[in-house]
Amino acid sequence: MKFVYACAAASLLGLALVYVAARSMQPAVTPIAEITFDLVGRPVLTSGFIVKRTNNVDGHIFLTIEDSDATLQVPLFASFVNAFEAGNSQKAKLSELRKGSLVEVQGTVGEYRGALQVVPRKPDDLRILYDR
Amino acid sequence: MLLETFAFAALGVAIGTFAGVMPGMHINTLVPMLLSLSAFAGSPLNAATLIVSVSITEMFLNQIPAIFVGAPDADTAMSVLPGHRLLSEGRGYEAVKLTVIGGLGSLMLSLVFIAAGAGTFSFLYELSRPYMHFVIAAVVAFIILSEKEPRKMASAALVLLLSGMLGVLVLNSSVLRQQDALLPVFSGLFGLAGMIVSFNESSSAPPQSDNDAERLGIPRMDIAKSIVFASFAGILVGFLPAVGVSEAAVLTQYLGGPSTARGFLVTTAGINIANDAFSLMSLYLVGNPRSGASVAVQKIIGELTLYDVVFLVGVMLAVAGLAAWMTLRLGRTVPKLLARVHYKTLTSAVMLFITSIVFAITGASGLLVLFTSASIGMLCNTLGVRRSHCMGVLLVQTMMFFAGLNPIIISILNIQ
Repeated sequence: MKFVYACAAASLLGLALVYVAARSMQPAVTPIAEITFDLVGRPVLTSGFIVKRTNNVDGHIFLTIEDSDATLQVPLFASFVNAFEAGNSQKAKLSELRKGSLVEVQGTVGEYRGALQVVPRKPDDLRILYDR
Repeated sequence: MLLETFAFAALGVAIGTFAGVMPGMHINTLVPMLLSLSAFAGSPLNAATLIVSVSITEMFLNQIPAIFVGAPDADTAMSVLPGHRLLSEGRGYEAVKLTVIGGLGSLMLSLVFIAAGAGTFSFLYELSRPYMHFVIAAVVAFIILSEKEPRKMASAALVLLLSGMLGVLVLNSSVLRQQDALLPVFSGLFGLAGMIVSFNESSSAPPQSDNDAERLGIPRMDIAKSIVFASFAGILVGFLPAVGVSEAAVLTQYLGGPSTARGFLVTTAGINIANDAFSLMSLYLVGNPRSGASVAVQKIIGELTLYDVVFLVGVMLAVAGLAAWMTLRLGRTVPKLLARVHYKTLTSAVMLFITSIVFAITGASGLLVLFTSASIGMLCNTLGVRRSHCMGVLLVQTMMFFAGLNPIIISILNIQ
């Protein structure tokens, strides 16, 4: 029984430490080519140049970004677009999200019609590193 | 042309064998190296032959470290427990043989399923996706209730909860690079935990039988049933995002699939291979890669023609035969080598090796996750409930994904 308590205590201590680490650690940039279907549902931080921007009538914006090896879809849904426009810590504007700009996106990997995408949630999940 | 294909297939088998028997090594780790090697291949099909050969060989061979040293990866985690059980009965070679049967059978059957159902996958995907979290919730409830005694049910729920919390924290945060996140998780839950327990209980490994003439301890009908389930589940893993091989193995067990250790080994190996076959075929069927290997093939060939697919399926079948032979050969040799080493020395060396690999790939936070997973795995063992409850680490996360709860939980925990 002592061993059960010891294992339970070690598990809880480990989970507490993992939680502290989860709250404090900054994500590392993942190259687009390394974002595969195995990562669907998981968070990633990636970066790339915008090669295409499409504005949808419902207020969504669809970006295609590219690094040296691969391309990726970044959908910005209307709720995100409104929040981004209302304010983000770098005071970036939607008009700066244009072809040739280098952006960094943090979000959850998703899949839509067989293609992978990274969906940012908060305005600060999308950063413009270089404005063309 | 034919000679070149043989040469690249043989090179692929050699690289795949090395990657398969090395704990912690995965085809995705090798893709950059394979892509650089493909520059010397002469033609895109030669390069694709190399990649497909490495991938399929690794799938067969990675059962060896899972069974004999308890060092699994995300795809073989569920082989460790039944594999270890047969190993402790002196039937390690039979465990390897069952994975080979499962792999070869499911490769052939899944190709038939894929060819027959090519047009229905998108439909099945759309149909099943809204209900997946209910299916997983039902399986989780069933897993707990299957312990029968109230005390054991409570213990199972505790293990599922703790491992589920670990999965939520690790798979939704930046504690580890997501590409490597499952290495310390599975090495701890299924590898290290079992080794620490057996280190305290056993002083020597039992003598192993490698007699090919001995009958398998599972009826042929059960093998056939396992292969059918594995082929279907392997394809399901391919088109359903966020459902991995290990989760599919658990799901099939509770949805009418085989529940014996032997049947489970056939199923797990079969799901791995069927999923690999589907990943390649999906390049042609839906134009999207589903695995590291198929991403590499797509990069080299671009858009696959029917001829390319037929050619690569031929390579896959031929290489599978060779990889199966290699796996059986090593399944005989490895236990003899291991028998020469003192059991506790060997276990200590493997534990040190796993810890070093985890540290090298994932750093100090990987060691923290390894320690936590091993503690949960050992808790499960000391509570006397099935270790498959530790699969809560993926089941809870997958259930949340399909229920659309991930963003809410992440916000509440403030971990992203």
